[in-house]
Amino acid sequence: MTNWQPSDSPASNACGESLPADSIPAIILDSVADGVFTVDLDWRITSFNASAERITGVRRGEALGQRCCDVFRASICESDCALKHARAHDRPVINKPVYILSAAGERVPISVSATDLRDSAGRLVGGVETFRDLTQVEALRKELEARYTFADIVGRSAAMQGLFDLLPRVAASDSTVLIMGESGTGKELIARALHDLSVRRDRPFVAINCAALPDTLLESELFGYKAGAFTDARRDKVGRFAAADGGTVFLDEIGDVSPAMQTRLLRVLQERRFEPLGSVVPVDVDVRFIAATHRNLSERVASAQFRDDLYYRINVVQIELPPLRERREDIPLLIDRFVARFNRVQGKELAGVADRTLAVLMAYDYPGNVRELENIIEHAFVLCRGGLIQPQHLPPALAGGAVAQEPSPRAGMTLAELEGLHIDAALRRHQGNRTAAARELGINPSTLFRRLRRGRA
Amino acid sequence: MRVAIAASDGRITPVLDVARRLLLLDFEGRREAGRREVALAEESLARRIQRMVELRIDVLICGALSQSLHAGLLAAGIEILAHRCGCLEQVIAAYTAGGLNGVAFRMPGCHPPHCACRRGRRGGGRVHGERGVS
Repeated sequence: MTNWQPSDSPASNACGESLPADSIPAIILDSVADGVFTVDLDWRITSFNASAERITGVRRGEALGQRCCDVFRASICESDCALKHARAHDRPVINKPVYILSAAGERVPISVSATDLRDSAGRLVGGVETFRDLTQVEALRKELEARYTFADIVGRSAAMQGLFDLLPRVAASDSTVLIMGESGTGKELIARALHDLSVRRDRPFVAINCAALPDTLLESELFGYKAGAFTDARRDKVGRFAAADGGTVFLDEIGDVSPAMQTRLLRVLQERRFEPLGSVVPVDVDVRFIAATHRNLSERVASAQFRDDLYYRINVVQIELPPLRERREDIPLLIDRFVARFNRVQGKELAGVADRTLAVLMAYDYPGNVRELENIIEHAFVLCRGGLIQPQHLPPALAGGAVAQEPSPRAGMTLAELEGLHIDAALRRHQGNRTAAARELGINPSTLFRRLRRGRA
Repeated sequence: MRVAIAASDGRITPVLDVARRLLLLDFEGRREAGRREVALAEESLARRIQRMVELRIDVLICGALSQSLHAGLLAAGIEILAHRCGCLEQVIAAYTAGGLNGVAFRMPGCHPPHCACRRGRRGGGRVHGERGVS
């Protein structure tokens, strides 16, 4: 192995004189942006390029001859050294995301690759490790995340970006809002965001799930009661409406309340006034109402299951949350968010999800929406000890057959339909990335584009 | 006095943030009165600091560590001899003799007085390892 000393070599020659042959690899390595070092069989550093100096903060002169772990100081040095891994498994490690500690004690995110180094006779003489500083990538990722995050809600899809645009204006209006969306789409997050962005932000936000309580209990929870109103009412109880005075009341699953309760709610919404159980003295409240439901309220109105006057009272501003399967481009962002959160909460340092895992997650339909995705990542955190979440860390139903949920060919399909099916599946697996999908399909991206255009015509 | 050394395979572990083992050495005067090894679980930095406090560590000898872990350990009153490297027994011998500040035991890139290895719970001023066990 050549022990090169790039900075000290006379390779740089402004007069155009020929360069010594053994200085050329050093010049080349010093010109690349990635850090590169080589080690001998005792793990001692034999070469260290300029980028390695810059990223680690250790000068070449200090690094040469030292054990690589004392210079490199990566989070995997003790437990899962990339060079040892490559040697043990006889295959290179490629782009493993880890961090190193700079000489100043800063965590520097990097991706590392490692492989054996052999001489011309094929004998093992050491190893080579290359690493890329991901600080800027990480900063960019954070900037993008900030752009795609609004009051704890994540989304880069057109639907969510439109929502982010709408929310501040709705929050400022103080109008009653009806949030529609399937279970797990984040209706309460939107309600909280509307409250936090409103002038009522310093007053209480009171949420109640109307479907979780029977009528009698819901009534006493919302309106409160006076002592003696019923057998167990030994003292006065302040209801949720009174507790929310000046703030926001979030009535979740309003589509599930009984007709009798609908009538009582209508009066509060109309007059901002109610009587606690057992009292004849009306109480005035100043609250903003936000209601939510996963049901189609207009259909329930048509079938006389929901009062039309209450519907019109709550349906002043309507916000519709799309199901996750209709905004798949948000899945990677949501995954990043959940991985970061579980890392923080559980004190782990998982790097994210592997490409194959992402493909599985992108192909799944999420009947439970964002909440289900969150549960899937939490499940993976239990099984994954470190590094990237692999498909086997997903719940069995997903790990085994999520991709199988993609539309499958059926008898009678035309060749064009089969082709469309195949193209759609590839696009889904690559998050809509046409270049990657075309590569998988073995066709030119422009061919894919033409076929997509033809399919949509 | 209890001294802890983050070590594995007979050497100081390069990164304390992810170290899996600590060697605990109890000293009575200059004499080593006992030693035992404890495992550190994969856990948050806050839990790691708490664990070291629970182990009643007075002095910690380690390799590199992140700024946040360094600050947390200092706040917990633990004296840190950071950015040290080398064979465990040689490190122990050097520490006992008060010579742990030698270049041979400093990680590459560690340059006192600019390096964080210099700071201790008494606010710096001397390079750790000079004194050793007293």
